[in-house]
Amino acid sequence: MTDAQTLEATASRAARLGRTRVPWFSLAFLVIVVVSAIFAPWIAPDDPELGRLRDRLIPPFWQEGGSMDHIFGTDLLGRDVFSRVVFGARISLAVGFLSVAIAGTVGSIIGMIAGYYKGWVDALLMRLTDMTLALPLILMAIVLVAILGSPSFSKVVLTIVILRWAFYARQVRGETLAVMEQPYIDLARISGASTRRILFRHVLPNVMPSLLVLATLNVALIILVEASLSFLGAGIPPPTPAWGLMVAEGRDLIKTSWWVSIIPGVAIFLTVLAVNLAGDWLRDRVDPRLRQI
Amino acid sequence: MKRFLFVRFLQAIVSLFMLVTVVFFLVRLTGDPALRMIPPQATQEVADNIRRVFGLDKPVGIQYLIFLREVVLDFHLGTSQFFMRPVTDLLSMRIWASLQLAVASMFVAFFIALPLGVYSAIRRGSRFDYIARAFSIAGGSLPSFLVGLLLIRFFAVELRWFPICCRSEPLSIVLPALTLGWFVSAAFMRLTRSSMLEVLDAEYVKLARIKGVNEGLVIWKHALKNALLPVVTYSTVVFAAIVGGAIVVETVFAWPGLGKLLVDAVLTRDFPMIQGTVILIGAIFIATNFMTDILYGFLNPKIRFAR
Repeated sequence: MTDAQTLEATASRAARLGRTRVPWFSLAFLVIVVVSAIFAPWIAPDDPELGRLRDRLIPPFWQEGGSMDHIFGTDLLGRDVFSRVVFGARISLAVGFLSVAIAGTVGSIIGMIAGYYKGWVDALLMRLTDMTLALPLILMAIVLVAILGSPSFSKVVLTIVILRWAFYARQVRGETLAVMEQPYIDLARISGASTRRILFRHVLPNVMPSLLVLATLNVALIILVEASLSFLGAGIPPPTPAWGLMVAEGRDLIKTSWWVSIIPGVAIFLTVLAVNLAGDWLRDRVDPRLRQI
Repeated sequence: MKRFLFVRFLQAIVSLFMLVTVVFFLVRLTGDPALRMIPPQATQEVADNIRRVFGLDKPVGIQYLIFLREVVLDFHLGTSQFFMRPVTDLLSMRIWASLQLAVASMFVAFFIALPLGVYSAIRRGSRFDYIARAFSIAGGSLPSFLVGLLLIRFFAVELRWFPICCRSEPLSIVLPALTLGWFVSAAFMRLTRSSMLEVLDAEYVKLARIKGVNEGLVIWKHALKNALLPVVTYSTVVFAAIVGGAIVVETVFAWPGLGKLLVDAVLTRDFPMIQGTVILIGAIFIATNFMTDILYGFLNPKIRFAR
């Protein structure tokens, strides 16, 4: 450990500068994305779903033929790409945070129960998590969306919760097992604390830090999954401006009008990168042990 | 070891059975599959005939038993409602394209990840390490459809080096394999780096150095050989994941693999096809996990000689 610390300390100036500034850059970017999601109607210059066929496929302002009226250009139906990207932040962030919050809550309650009762309850719940986590996420997501029928915002969230709770349940169960060995749990029980009190007052606060780190990193993954689902046509249906859907709509125009698909694609990349960097920084701060996951 | 393998084999069979059962009933949860095939203006007689041909006139429990018997005895997974052909025919046509793409992208991933992972472990904390780690986080954050589109834009549209899509000529595989391989290499690189760091700290590496073994030999022979163990194990899991999970990349490049088949089946609501594809991909997963256990036993004597 001391070896590593001296190494870190002598790391090049650039690396150190980067390491300290990156979280602030990414947090600043995240703030921009969150603000544009919340205040989308005031920030976007145009209605994201309103097409003007006369203004189709105008390039972004820095290219020939572009103007400041549509800084990121317009798509095939003449809709303003910048307004659609701003409104798209709503979908990505809402799906990301909401489904992680629900899956995290459900998963940690199930995980705490498994770690608390042990025995057959634990064995049964853990086989269930094995099964849920066995197949690739996007594959199962697209199948579930097909089974639930006509995709919508709430169905996408529900799908992700069904496929993702098990991830948190595993993690929380492991930590609960460790916490249950601590003497203060026995003391709490002797003093007459109920199961619910032990779980929420003594176990949960100990599990919380690593749960938060995992959840943050997972928001990035879920934003990617949502984007992939809508890219494949199995996510939130058009004309809602979801980023993945915008990339798909511009796919066939890649030869002539690259901005229709690349700009929302870059928006996904930067947002996911910012969440990942923030999560990474949080992990190093809170619990470097989690690096192994 | 024999006992261990036997138990794992039984577990694999049980998982496979559970998978088939869950998928069968999940697909039927959405309602009567016959309703999607019967045109609204059809007479009662036509409707009854369609039900009889697809075996949908019997109770669900009986349908399940017939389905199980057909899967086990004839390896028959039903008939696609869209293509009107046996699902197994369509799957066997597509699986080669998927396997080919998976192998090619694994090569790309190893080619990128191993040197980067090893060098950033050796020069831990250096500028190189920092850039390599930044690359790995950025790689994990890039949606693969964006990478695919950018590659198409530059290498297929501007430079015209490779075809834009499909699987028509030998060069067609380059761009999809690069996209998938790049995506996988981020995780590989991180794993190689951390596993290498752990091994470089081990006593036998220090001993080799004290003995005066050439530094290159220490790193590439003594250390890497052991550091590769978790990477190899992980790569088998990744391999299975990209045989079935390359959905997005296959869609971007119109690569005729299993993922594309599944997306098309979902979009046309062709449930026997969805059911068959999921069962096949699940079976590949279960089989790979089983083989990983065997492989792990061979590579790691601690497990081979236990029990």
